[in-house]
Amino acid sequence: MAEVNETDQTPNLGDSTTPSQPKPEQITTTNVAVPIPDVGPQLQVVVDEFILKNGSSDEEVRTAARNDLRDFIEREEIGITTLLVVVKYAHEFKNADLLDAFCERVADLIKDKKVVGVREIFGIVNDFTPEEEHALRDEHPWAFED
Amino acid sequence: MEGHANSTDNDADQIQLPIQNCVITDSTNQHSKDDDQNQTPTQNHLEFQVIAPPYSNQGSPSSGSSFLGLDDTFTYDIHNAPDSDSLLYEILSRLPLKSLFRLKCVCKHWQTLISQRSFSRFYISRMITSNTASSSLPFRILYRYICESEPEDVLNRFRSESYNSSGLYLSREEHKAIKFKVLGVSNGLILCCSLGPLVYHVCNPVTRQWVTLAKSAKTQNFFAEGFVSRVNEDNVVTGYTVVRQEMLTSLTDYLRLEIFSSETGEWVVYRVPCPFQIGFPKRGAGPICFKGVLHWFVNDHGMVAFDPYKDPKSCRLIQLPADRDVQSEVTHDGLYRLCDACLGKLRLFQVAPDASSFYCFSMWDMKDYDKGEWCSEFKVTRSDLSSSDPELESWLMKATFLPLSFHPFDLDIVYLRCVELACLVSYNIQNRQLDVACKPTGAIDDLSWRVVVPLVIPTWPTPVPIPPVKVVIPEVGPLRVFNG
Repeated sequence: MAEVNETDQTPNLGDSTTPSQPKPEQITTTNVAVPIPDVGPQLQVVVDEFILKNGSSDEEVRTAARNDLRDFIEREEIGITTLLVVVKYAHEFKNADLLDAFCERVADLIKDKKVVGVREIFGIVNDFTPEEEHALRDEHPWAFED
Repeated sequence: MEGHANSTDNDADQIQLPIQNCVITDSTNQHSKDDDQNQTPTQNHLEFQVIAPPYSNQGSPSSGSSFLGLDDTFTYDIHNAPDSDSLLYEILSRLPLKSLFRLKCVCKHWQTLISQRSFSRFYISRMITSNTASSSLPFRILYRYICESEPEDVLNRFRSESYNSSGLYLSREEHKAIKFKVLGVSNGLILCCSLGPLVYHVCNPVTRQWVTLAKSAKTQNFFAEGFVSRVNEDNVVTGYTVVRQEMLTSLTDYLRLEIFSSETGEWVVYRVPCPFQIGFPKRGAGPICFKGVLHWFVNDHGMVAFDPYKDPKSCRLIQLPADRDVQSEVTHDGLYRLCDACLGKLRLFQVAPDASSFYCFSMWDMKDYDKGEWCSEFKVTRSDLSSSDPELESWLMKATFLPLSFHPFDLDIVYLRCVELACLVSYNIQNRQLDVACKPTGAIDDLSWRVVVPLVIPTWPTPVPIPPVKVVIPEVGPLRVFNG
């Protein structure tokens, strides 16, 4: 049985804070299960397991849980549609760590994409005129280098 | 070897996906699978957003939508979700600045959202709070002297993409002439100067904006320059000043300053009287900036503090902690004493040059700035230290350490140079552990706090205020006519 380190971690609602790491104030992590009705059972199982392990008072278990989740998402190449579904429910149930893992993955998938590619992914119609888009590019030329 | 997720669950009757029934989105190239030889090339690395295909409820062969396990006409429309902006905030705030600003072009809604003040605040605060302990915000301990001769190349040295993952990187080219020197960093802007002749420039490493300042009349003497900028509530720089202090070799009752303001575009000379006679160390280094006030080190008294934005112009002497090793400070010209602003604290870290000294590392924090009162945080002996690196561990009792810089976001870390092992080490104040942080390339024999500056890539791009330029109409001399 792992030793409980009483000085640092209080058995709690999954708040994985060390003294020097303040949490973003808009969302709090809870240990509540996040049902995701629109995704298949396999992903639900993985998410449930993550939430369970993330609530542990042992930092190593939590770190392993986060890494496992990240590895799973990457390995299975989960599509953005599914990722966004989980993001939506993680946000609704205020699970910051779950939200973080999935948002990070979405951001990772779009960060190197061209503007056109991102529009396709999100199903967005371009509502700029060519002149407007050109002017916007001129405003921040450094963002369009390379 | 794991195949696609679908192959573990479903039968083999859904291998091929008729392409014409799908909307194919961009490939996620960075996580390629290497077991797809038998499948059609279009199926490799592609992510299908299935709109209206005639499939069974077992899902399609694509790895993404097999997890949907639902009626295949489902598409999650992030824009019609009730909390869509909140979700966009969460996703966009995790993008690097360059991607973020590029994606302003996606649509007007995204442009508006990203340009909102509330978004930039969210972005900045998320960067700071989520990274403080994990230290993954890019930074570099920059060697001040740069051998590049063109602004473009100098800017390339500041690029965050070239930082390695540990955040610490130091290199120095030998046998090349030094062309630029980094003088100071403030609110995301860098003050540097080109040498021979001396010209000052202010630049933004993210937007690559480069502003050259008007020349001052004086160019010969030895100066130590300080850089202070002011920001408004959106973290946009509204103005900056450069303060040059003439490093006189003899004792003086006055500070001889020359101040450039981005608001006027001009250099103005000031003589500011000092409460005591002061003398500057032989090997002067630039001032440190704490709470917008510049502090130059002076012999015997500690520091002389000057606020360029305060009128009337005055200066104040601040003593360094009385229980520090003054003797070594004098002998080594302050080489073993690191004093700098760190996350809102004024901190002093001293290393004993002699391995036989009782205490090896000592640290003080300024507790009351107005009164100039310090508080001793700790003193540790060499036997208190430990290291996970065996070679470093074997040297702990006898190595020479020179302090270099505090970690820009972690109050528990101090960077030092280990002379004998020719590497940079990090010292963790909490567990008293020393670890090898990086092995710099190039010669590092002059590596000390004087020649490095911590460079943090700004969390939000800010334009460089451009000083007004005085238009001088040159005197027209006699006309000369050239024949032929």
